[in-house]
Amino acid sequence: MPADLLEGLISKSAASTQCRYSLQNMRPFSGGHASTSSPGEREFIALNNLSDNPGATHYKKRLGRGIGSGLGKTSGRGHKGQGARTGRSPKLGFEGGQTPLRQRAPKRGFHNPHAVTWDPLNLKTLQEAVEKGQLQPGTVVTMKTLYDAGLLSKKIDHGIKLLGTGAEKFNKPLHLQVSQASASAVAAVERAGGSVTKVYYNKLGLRALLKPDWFARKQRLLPRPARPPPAMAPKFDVIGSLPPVSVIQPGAAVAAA
Amino acid sequence: MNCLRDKARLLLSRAVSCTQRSSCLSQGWARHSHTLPALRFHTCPVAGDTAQSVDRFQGSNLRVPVFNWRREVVGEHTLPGDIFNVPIRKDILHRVVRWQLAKRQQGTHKTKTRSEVRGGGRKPHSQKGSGRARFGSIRAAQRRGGGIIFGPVVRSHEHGLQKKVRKLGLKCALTAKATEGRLTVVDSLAVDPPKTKVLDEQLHALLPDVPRRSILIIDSSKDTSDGGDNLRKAASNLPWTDVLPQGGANVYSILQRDNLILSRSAVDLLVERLRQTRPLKAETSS
Repeated sequence: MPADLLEGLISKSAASTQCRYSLQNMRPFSGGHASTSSPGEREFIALNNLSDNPGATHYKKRLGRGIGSGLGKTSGRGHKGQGARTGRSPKLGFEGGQTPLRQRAPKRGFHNPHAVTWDPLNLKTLQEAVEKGQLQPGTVVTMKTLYDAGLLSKKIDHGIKLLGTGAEKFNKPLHLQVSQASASAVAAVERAGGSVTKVYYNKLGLRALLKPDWFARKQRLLPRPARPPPAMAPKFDVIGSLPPVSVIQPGAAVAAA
Repeated sequence: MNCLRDKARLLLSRAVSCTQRSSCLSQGWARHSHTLPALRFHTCPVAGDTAQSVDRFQGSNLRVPVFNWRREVVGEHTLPGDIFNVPIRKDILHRVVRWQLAKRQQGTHKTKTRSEVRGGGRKPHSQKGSGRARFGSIRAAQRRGGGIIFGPVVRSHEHGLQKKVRKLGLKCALTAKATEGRLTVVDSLAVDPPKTKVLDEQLHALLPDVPRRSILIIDSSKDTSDGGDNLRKAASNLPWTDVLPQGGANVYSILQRDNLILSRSAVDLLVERLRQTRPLKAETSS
């Protein structure tokens, strides 16, 4: 068979394909990866020779199409009963009429609808953000700033609590306005030359702080700042303003400290 | 313009017969089969092999000549490697083409079920005593003139495809044309006067070696001086010749035609568009 000979010819002339282009154009186009199928054939990519990767497509099961298919007579549904019929199958967790597991176990605990949860924010995150340039050292950092910088999760319930993980290495001066802060975090921030102000926003106020666009889009006014409930009031320094004040005021740092 | 169509057909038939006669030394490309044996090209000493091996590196920029309509080199343009020299993923191209075709499918197909076929409300005969089979309707599926079970219904055939995949598909299609040497950059696509005859001659001068002038021309937009309305008018009756603005450049239209002609400004706008990323969160929310 002259197959070997042919292949030799083909591989020799594969280089000349590119040569032709070099004559046609000033600088040759690269032709290395256009023909991946075989070295001898130069295949133009066109609509008639596209294909997906092998194994990329699932084929539909053809039910009830004879014994040879394995899904013939009962179409894989087994014999008579609820499962063999059309329509909705029994709901998840239904055990055929027997008391299901989730009802057998006794009730335990309770749900507090008034619980207040703070989303944690660690000093380590802040340190990294400043190093990456997401936050500017020496500026006022509100929860809005943190949200825009992508340091907070998308959904925040009641506010942010600053926590002290990474406190020993924290050295960026930031004037932070967050809902709550742990003692170690406050100490670390002040050691670095910054300040922490605990500001109160209620849930609506927090939404107006983080997503003022929503109010503008709905043509609504921003809500007025709410006072904290008396029981929570001692935990906060100031009532958060809307829109937030992001200029360092002379007395602010002193008041916070 | 039927004469043009005939002329094109004649050219095509001549090209095919030509390739059949001298398969080894023919200069033209095979038309019907897109698989082209490398034997077709005349073996010649490989010049500038080192330069090629540098350029072949994936991701490197391609420097291409810029032509005018008379195929005179008027400059040079750099096609960025991240768009015009990416690994060609045939599977991605396939997915994008399938997505495009599915999206444009009208989906107006319908058969009538037994409830939609006219008549059939009355029970044909009594349930028992007639000696005949039980029937509830004359339009049941097993009867002549009855309804169709699970027939086609009017629906959209559209399915989703990730934006990143669509973008990659366009890059692959552009790369395919560039690596095949079937991409030409032109400084201006203006046709003056806006006559089909003029454009036909210009295309003939620009791509002299191409027997069947199956071409996609991409200019920057519908109302700019590099192409624009004049080009569209002139090209509207040329067979196998399409014109698109760069905003409308798509995988299907590119692969449908053999050759791709881009104006210089279209290349720049296309590159700018393909490099755009999703705006940052901070920009959108403030």
